Amino acid sequence: MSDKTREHISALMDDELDNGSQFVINAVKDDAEHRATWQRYHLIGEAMRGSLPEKIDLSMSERINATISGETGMDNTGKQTKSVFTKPAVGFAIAASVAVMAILGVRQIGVGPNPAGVPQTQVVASSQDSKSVSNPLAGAAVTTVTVHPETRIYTPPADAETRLNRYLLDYNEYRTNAGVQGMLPYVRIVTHEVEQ
Amino acid sequence: MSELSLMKWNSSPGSNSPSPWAVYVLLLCLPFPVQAEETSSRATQLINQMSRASKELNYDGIFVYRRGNRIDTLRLIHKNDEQGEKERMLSLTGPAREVIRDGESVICIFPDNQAVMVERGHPKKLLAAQLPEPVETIADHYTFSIAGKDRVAGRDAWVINIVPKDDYRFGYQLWIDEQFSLLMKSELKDGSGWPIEQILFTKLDILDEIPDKLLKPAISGKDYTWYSSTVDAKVQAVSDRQWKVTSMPAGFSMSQHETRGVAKSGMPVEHMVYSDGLAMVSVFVEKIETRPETLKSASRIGGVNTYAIYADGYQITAVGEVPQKTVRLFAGSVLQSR
Repeated sequence: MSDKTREHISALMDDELDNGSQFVINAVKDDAEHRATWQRYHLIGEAMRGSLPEKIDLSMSERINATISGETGMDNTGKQTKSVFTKPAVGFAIAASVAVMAILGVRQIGVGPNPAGVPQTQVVASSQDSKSVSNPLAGAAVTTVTVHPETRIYTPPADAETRLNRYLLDYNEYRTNAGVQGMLPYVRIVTHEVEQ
Repeated sequence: MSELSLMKWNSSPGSNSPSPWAVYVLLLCLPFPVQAEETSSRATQLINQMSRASKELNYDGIFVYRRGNRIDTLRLIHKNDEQGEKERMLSLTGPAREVIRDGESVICIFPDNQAVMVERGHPKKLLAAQLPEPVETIADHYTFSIAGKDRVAGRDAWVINIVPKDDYRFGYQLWIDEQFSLLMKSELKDGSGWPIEQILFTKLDILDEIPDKLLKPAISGKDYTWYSSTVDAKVQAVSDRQWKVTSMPAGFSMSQHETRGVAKSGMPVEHMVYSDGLAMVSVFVEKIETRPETLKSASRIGGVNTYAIYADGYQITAVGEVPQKTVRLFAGSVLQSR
């Protein structure tokens, strides 16, 4: 299937295909590959809008993944195509960013002064504190914020959610080695969000 | 229905002999328990092979992760050589977050916040120095069976069912690669069989070697803020207060107990880890002067449930890949042991 055809299907879903819509509808109706593309686009759109049903057939996702590299949303000239996917992606990214901030709050709580006003942390530039921090990204200039060099200090966190996220990180570290792995524990950190 | 109950149903009152009908039914049923036992044994064998393969092999795969109505695509790269295991998981959708682990540290990279978190000092818990305990030890609380065969990512796979024998645990359905024994697909299921979480590999390459460059982060780290913490083993053993869970489902036992942050300026947090060999529950006890205003008793992150209680200046929180009622039971039964 050509990029142009994919673009037409995407435009049809956006209700932005003024001419030739009947032609594309017929193509989707009559051709299995076009129909599969139509279904994939709907599934991706629903995923990005967060409106997927609770139960879906993940083999569909397998097919999405197999084809996603060839459908980057760019046309032949490198220009971003107007697709059903692009619009909700903004909200998706914002939601993810908020979730990451919640995780980072876990460690940031150790950075400020303690209640007694005594600084617990060292803020050092680059690799001055090689005892407690080494940079796996060798050669990169980094700003390093080091919690107490010898022990992890838990200062009273600002809120309950921050504390809960800190617990989740600790839980995952242990879960990685505990018993049989039916799931991949760190997947929840990489895609973290509080659902309810 | 068990064979014994069939015999009781069909026996005449006062008679010890089963009716001919019961004998007939019993004979019909006889092969099935034998088959079930064989399939259970084969299922546990496959699961043990999977645990081993996931640690010993070099592989590079793409998988889809679904929980509720959210779906993400991630890449997992795993290397094992004479220097030990190293693993990198990165998100291919949304922010390009990464987690890179080896025997000494866990590095979490959040490009959307230009931040990196480095956790050190728990070599034993970061990546396995030892294999997980054999699955046979947890057979008292779960039923293992082979559901059949399927294909995932173009590869043949065994489908294994793990069904809990009570409603304090979740079940699993695992798709294990027939040739290399790696986990290809997994579903975490609630008591009704509903898939709470799913992962599905859409591509998985088993490799002789993994180039080191594949385990390096995509970001340069320039201008990033690094948050690092190191736990000193000396401060873990002693605490002025000890806590214990007094009621938990059968089969769970404490596997770890540590106290952190006992330095002069820090607030101690007790962390108790309980496992039945498959499910794991962490219980945290932390002294907090006043009840947090935003404290929610129950919450859920994918297949992980949490339950928090505030009492007498302490917050007790149970976290686990188990049903809500189980974390509630753990959190609600915590008492001071002295």
